[in-house]
Amino acid sequence: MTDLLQVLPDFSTQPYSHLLPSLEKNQVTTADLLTLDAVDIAKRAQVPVAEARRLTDAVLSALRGQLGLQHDIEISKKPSLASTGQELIGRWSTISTLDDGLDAALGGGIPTGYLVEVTGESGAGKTQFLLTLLLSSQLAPPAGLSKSALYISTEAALPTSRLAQLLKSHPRLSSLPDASRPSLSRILSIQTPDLESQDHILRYQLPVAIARHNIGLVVLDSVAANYRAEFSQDPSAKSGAAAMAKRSAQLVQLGSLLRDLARAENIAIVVANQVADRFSPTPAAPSAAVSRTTSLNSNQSNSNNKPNNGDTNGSRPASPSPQPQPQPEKRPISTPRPSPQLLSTPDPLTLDHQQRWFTGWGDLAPSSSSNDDGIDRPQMLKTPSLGLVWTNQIACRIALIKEVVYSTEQDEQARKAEGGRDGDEGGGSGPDIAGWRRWMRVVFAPWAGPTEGRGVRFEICGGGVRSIGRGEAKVIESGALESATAAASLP
Amino acid sequence: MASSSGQASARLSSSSSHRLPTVSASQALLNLKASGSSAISTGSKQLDLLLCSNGIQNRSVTSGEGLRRGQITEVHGSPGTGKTTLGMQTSVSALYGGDRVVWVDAGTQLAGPRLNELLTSFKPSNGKQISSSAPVTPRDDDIRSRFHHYIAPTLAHLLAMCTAPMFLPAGTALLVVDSVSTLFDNAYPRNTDDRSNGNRNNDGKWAASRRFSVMNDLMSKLSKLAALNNIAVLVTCQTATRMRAGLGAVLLPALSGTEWDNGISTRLVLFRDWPPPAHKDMSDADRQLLGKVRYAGAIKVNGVTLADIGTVGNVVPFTIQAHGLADFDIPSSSQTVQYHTSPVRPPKRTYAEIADSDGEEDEYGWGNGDEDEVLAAEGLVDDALAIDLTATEAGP
Repeated sequence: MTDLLQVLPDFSTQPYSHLLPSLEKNQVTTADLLTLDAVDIAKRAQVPVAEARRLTDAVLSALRGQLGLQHDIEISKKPSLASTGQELIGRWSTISTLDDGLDAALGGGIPTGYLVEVTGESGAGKTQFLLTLLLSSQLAPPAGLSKSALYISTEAALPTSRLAQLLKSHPRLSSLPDASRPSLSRILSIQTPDLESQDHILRYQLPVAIARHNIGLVVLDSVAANYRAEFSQDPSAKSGAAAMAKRSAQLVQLGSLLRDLARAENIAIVVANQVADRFSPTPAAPSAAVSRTTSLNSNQSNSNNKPNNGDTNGSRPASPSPQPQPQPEKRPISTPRPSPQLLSTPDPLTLDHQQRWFTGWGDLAPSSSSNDDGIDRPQMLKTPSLGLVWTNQIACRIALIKEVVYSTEQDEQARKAEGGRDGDEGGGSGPDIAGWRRWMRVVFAPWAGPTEGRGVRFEICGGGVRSIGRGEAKVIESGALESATAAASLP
Repeated sequence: MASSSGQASARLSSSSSHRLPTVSASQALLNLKASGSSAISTGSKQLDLLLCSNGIQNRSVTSGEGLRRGQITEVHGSPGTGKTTLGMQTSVSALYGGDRVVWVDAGTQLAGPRLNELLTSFKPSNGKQISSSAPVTPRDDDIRSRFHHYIAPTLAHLLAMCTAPMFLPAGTALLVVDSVSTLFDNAYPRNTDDRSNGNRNNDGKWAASRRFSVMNDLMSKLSKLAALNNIAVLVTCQTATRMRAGLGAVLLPALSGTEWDNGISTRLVLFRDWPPPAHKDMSDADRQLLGKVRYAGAIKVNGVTLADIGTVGNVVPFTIQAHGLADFDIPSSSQTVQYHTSPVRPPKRTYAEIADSDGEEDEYGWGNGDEDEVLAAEGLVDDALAIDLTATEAGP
């Protein structure tokens, strides 16, 4: 049987050991066993019909036993896969980010039992965010789980000096008495240099380690690195489709492995993911989104009403665009529409359009992007790595957004930033970089709504990530700290 | 309502389900009239109306709108569009109506606190339906005990569940299978390794055909459950991409196939779009809601296909708030979006000139493998035939 061990790890295969090799050879899965008639199974795998039927019955009753749907056989333990509403509602524990603002956006913190992704550019604060979780999972409930944490790194080793710094300088950690304070000895670390060892470690070593060390949080930093290395090496275009199919099959497997582990062990699994630049929709895409993105550049007032006329596709001239050619063929088609248009584009299900809402970048409506800060600038759009296949695997995506502050900026925040360090990450061209602003936003989560607007503004300081209110806008000051951040998040 | 259908389903599920009790047509009509609501509200009035707007305006027999009992409804959409919340809100409606709900998680687990939030803040949208079946407000723990939650880690678990006689307790009105596509992607990964060789070997054909056979088998099991127990079945499905020539990738339901599509009587797509423009006379509370708007499009309603897959059909907006699903009022909200092929501007440079154009879609994985799935769907009949032939040849 190709997948019997994954479906039913505790199933006693002893009485059927003579059947299994043949079933395996003929690719009969457990699902096939349950859907095909025993005669068909027997024909396909060349096994006796009665034996095949006996195996099917045994598998079926074992499955139902797990689900609590089989009462005639005595089950020693409670069915693990069934629960009532009360049990479901009562079963909830979270790991705090140790910051009230971020916790509020996350609906209390990172819950156990789920696969959560934290995505963002390098230097956006992913590793800082994860390091804090490694420490806070050791705290007593409700802030943590009173359990150890495991850090699986594919890029850089666990930054222990930064962890020690966090422990010393975070206000909520440093004030704790020694007995209840998290310690570095309860953070385990594994490094996985390539995909093969990553798979082996996750599949075989991780479950053992979780049980042995009482682990409540597993951090994988980052999930994409090994995939990128493995799949970017093959230059031949012909095998591209096959390689992609293989990769998505592996991603599906990885997702289900991590999800099942999180659920079965009731631990939180948090993975970091990288991003790539996203370009504006292709010229072939419907023009509405494109032209509105360009109208974002125009220095319009912040009023909510005025630019929206342009958004409805109806009367484009109401919002004068700096681009002289807003696709003139568009207008004669859209004008005859009667009432206010419900949708902004006639083809809303394109990936280019929908990914604005599940990647974390690009969903700010043009009218609202000149937002709280009063800055009217197109957002740098990013797309998390590994695509929609991976997005379908995760329960929750948290995007950490980093935006540059130029020193030539005319507004107040940039002035405050004067005396800050020069940007060394910005690439050199253009105005000097005075600092960075960062936001955290929940893109989607089963337990919390998406964060509105740009998200929760935060900064990275000696004590880790800290949310800041709308009024106080600070730019990171300490140069030494920033280099520590960069060292922690860059390979 | 709950009692009559409850007895019926108890009788059916306890005995063998191979034979249906004989009911005369006049008796069936009486039963239908007496059974009260034949649908479960989704929490949004507009969405409920959308779910029974198939052009046949015959409301004399059916009362109530929403998810139809006895039928399978599929909802698909990208992450964060509200598929699970729609299921939860419908569950809450059914629970407050005095019925039981069976929820199967195939992908990510249901968040308990979120369900609790919806349960505690439930406001019946139309009072008459609730008051007729449950005159007194049920107690909290009573409601919660009528919610049955299962986890299906693999496809085999789900199949074993569907055939178990005690799967649906008496009085069940709604069965939700959340993220059913995850199970199929796990059990039968889309594998195109062999295809590049030109001729696939027998094993590849077998796996490809099994994906569809099991899908059809599950569909027939679900249909049977829905019909025999007179329950509404809600299946949520994730999305996959398919490249369209010259138009970019489009999101499609991750599960499709002729029989699967035929088995579904109502198919909704949930998606997001920019929030509608704010009116001048809009209150601040309404403005807050603008960012929470989602859209639901009806692809197929009560067996009538209204729009192609990949388009949206009739669209209604709704919001997802802390207390759950709610209407969102836009003047003249339900209307057909007109489709037109906007003239395509040719690319400024040919693809060959763009440095890494051929590797682009591969790198981000947006447009993988799904064309192959569709191809496999079309080639299914031939594959299955071929297997049958080989099987008979190999047989005695």
